[in-house]
Amino acid sequence: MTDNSQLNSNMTASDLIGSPSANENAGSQTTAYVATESNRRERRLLIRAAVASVPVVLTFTAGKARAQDASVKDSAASPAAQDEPPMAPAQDNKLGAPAEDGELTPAEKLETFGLQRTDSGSSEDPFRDLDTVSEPVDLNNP
Amino acid sequence: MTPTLKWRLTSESGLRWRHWADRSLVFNPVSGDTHMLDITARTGLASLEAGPKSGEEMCQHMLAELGLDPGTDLRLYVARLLGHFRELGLVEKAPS
Repeated sequence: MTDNSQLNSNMTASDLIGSPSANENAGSQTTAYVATESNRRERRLLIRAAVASVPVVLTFTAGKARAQDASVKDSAASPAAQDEPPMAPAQDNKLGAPAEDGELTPAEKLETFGLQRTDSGSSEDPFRDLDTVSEPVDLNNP
Repeated sequence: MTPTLKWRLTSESGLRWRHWADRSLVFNPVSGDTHMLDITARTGLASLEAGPKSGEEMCQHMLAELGLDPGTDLRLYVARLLGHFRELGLVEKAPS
């Protein structure tokens, strides 16, 4: 489980993606660990798409995978959803309101970023529209 | 002035990682669970291995590590990520 001989947690995402110089120097000796330019581009697009969506984390407990992706959890067709109690009613997104499962409370979100919210909602508050789905990212037209 | 909340890993002994090109497995010795993360979630969690961080500090770390445009707003993503990680027992609030 702790086999970090080739890759370790100190590696940056760029290390995993592969660097252009490493690729150029590899020549015909290119290995599976050296990403091609095309792969790097694709990987960067995937990263940009990922940060614009809900984080996906799969959990393996006693051999059973459980999806933490909210969109999967909401799906009635999902086996994981069938094992879980019904979702709680939507909470009013106000300071002091309890958080839904897997969410920070509105107050925690602000404190995490050192922000302060006024009653009418501050213009610097990035979480006013937290419950709305993010606009899809047009990867061809950033 | 709103105090800034910092987050830290629940495991004092650290996490056990195994990486592939775009996925990582992480074992949490506190919960006994193993989680599979994509590269963005991995970068966010790994940023806390150096010590407690605020949301803004996590954003800066992720922008640099992922090679994203410095103007990219990751706050919403990081807030959701921290919510998921707390539910899984991977992170907790650091004492102020």
